[in-house]
Amino acid sequence: MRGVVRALLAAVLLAGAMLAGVGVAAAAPVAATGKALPTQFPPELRKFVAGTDEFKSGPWFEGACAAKGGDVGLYLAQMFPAEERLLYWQMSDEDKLRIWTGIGPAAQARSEDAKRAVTEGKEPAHALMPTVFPGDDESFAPRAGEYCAEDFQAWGTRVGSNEWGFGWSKTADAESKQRWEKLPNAGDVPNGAWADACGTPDLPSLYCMHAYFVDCDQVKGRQDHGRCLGWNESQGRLSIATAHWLKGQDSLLERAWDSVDLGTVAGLASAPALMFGGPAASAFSAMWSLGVVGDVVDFVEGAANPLDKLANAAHEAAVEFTTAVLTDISETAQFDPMSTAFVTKYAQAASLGVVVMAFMCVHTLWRSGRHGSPGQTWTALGVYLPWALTAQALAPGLAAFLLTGMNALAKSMADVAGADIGGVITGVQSMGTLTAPAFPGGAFVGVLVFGAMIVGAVALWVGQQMHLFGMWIVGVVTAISFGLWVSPKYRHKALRPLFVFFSIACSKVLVFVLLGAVFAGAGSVITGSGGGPMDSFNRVAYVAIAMLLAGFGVWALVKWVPFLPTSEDSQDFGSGALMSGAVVGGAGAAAAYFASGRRGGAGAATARAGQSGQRGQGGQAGPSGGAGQAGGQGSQGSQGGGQAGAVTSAWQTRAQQGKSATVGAGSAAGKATKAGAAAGAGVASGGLSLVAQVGTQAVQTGIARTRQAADQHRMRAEDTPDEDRRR
Amino acid sequence: MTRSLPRKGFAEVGTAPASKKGGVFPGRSRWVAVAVGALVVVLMVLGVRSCSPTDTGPVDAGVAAVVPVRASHGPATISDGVPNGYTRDPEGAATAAVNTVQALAEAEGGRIAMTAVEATRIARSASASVRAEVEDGKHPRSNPDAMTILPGAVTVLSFSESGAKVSVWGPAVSQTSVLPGDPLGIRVSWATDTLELVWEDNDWKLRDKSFKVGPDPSDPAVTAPPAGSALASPVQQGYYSFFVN
Repeated sequence: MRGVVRALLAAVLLAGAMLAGVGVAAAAPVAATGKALPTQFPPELRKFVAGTDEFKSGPWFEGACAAKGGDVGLYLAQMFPAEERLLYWQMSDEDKLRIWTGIGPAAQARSEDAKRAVTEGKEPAHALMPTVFPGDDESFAPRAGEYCAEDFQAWGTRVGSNEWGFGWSKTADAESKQRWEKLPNAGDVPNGAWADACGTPDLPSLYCMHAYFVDCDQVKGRQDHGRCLGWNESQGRLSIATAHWLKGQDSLLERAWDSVDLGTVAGLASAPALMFGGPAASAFSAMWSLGVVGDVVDFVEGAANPLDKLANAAHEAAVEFTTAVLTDISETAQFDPMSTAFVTKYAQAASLGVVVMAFMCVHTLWRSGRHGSPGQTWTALGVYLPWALTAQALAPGLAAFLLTGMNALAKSMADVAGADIGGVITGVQSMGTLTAPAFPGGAFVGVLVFGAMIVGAVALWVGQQMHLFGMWIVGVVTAISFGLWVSPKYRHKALRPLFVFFSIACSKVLVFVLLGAVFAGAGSVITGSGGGPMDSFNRVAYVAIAMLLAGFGVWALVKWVPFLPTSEDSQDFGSGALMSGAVVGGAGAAAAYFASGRRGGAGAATARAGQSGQRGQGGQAGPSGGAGQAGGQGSQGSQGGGQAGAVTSAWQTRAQQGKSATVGAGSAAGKATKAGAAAGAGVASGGLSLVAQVGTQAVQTGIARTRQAADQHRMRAEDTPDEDRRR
Repeated sequence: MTRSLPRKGFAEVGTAPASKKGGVFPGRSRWVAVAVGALVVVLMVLGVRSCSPTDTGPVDAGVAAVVPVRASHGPATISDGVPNGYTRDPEGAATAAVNTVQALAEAEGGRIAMTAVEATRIARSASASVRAEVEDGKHPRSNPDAMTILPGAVTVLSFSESGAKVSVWGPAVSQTSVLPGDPLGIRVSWATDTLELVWEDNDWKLRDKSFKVGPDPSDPAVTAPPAGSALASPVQQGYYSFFVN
């Protein structure tokens, strides 16, 4: 009955995934939490800012692009006339003040009035605004329904953390550039505007702010190729028209931009959100941030000793690397079981599976002389053998069928989680302005906690990549495991790689759901202004904990989902721990060990978890931080013998001896991660140790539970002694 | 009173007692499993049907449903604006590959229905990328360009009775206006489609396709293609064009 219930749950999940996948709608943006727009932000401009209700109900989520992420062309067409006002409101208060006061002898006299105006949330007159082009000129407004967000995701860079899900390409493709050179008046565009719009220091900043370039070498079809070239051509014409417009402007425009040091590309370095067409790609979501994001400043100004220099390096690395990882977090390469490369490898593995099948046939026939019955032998050779051959041939197609729904569902979940991830990114970027005087513990604590952020970012990135590798490995192993279907004794093992594959496919969806929850929880902390001496430390520490939990604990948390099989199902394949499981397990154990502050404390706790898992029958999993789920942690599985894997047995030995918890195959990785963990694992937070222990306990509990279910499955051979059959 | 045990015949000695329950899903559970399987099938069918948008259908309502055509290697018919029915030889595969590329572009431009292309030109074992392209093509963009794809050089890279791999290099000529208010203009772009076809239901169907921009005619990859490239291999000859609208 439990098997039927599980089958029913799996069927509902599959059907739901297919329904969601086939008809996936553009993910409506989630309003930012814990943030606010600038004081007195004009209500008529709210629809241009991602995260507002007005944006969600905007016309760009209707029509032909409704199911394709939204109509970016229509958004730009309606945004251009309001762009100068939006750029003003996205400035910091200091820059707004400079806009009001202007430059020149009378600036000081206007300062008091300017302060009042900024405080009251007033908007300066158009004459004072840093005007932009094309503004009201509709001849450069893209047509509606023609260019959707999904197009630019394919032609640009896919970004999971902004509203449209894409970023513009740094430069256009070669063919587009050649076409630009042939446009009328192409020579009027200054040098660098097309080749390196955001890297030419003296270039007017407008070229970089409107660098809406895409790479048409990334298109996937003829129609897309034509449309992509058309888009770049329109941007080429926009650049030419911009050049003509700039020539016609008077010096007042230049002074307006120069007053905020944003007149040239060099000045944009202080406002990176404006570069590479950032405002359009993010739909001005930077408006929600704590302030205009600037460069990472030195954590310790005037660093003299090595510790201070290390703190500065750790600070810069943590902010930049964490931002990069979170930005690309949803960009896991998708596994295509019907791709030529995988089908080739699958076919090679299937040939081994056929060989295994042949051996199992012989084994079954030999075994029938001592165990089993003629009926059992007939079932094995007459039913399961053709079943196995058929399933082996159809498996890639069925996998593609499954993944179509799961990938679409995962993308939807990633889009929803993207808003929360974007909030964390904004908070992380704002940490670039943190300095040691505002940090309790100074440089030393800074080194440790920023180190923890780096470790967490690495874990998160590795976990995301392991999904793809896991699918490849399990997919190929599955081809071989079909050979075991014939044998009544080993049949139950043949199912495990299938369950693991299904689990990985489903877990990708759950990972994004959990990531969204984790980061939503972290986001509310790092953006809240609690005040007090621990405010800065709390912001960094919570991000570090969230990253470590997302990297190590999320894959383990997935195992709490009762109807998903666990990595224990693939234990019997391979006698050595997969590198991923060993590294993550070792790193997680090392982090837990150091954080516990007690020698062998965390190790003992997790070893007890290992022991509880071993009470189940058969092979065991090594300690797992979760990200190594793909492919399993490979111990030597054996029936009924309870023989522990190398990792677990060493773990237990050390635990019994009260030694360090860094064990087994993970010890080498544990030592390697010690350097990073030592730098960062000193987060004196019981949550860190708790996370690792919870994750490992969840793994072991899931192992024991699923092991019992697999052993009780009716497909397992009944290894009944002969004397029980003779009457 | 002693109860006597049932006697077993000679044939029954040594055999295990018949199990009341056998098989993967015994007894009542079997019917539950069948019901679950049927439910899954029904849900999937309903999901596909309900979530599939109303296809815009061909722009030109004058396209006849099935039009017989006679060409030496196919197509044999034009169904809802889509050519199909090719011969089981390299020339048939080459013709099918060219027409498939053209049909996909026509459907993505909204001139014919992608469902018609899917029904006649796409294999049941089509790759995920082909399926994604087909699904995307069911929602054509507004103001699509009028596009004509011409086979500049068609090479059958491999052929067997069950499958073929064909490379199609050539221009796509589109008529469009780049910005609102612009007059119509012509844009020519060069690209290479490589198609994997399978023989299915007495016709060549598309299983997988890769697309690559270029090479441009002035590119050395065209004027002096490296050995082993598609453009260095013998190309199909005897090409004629005709319009279907």
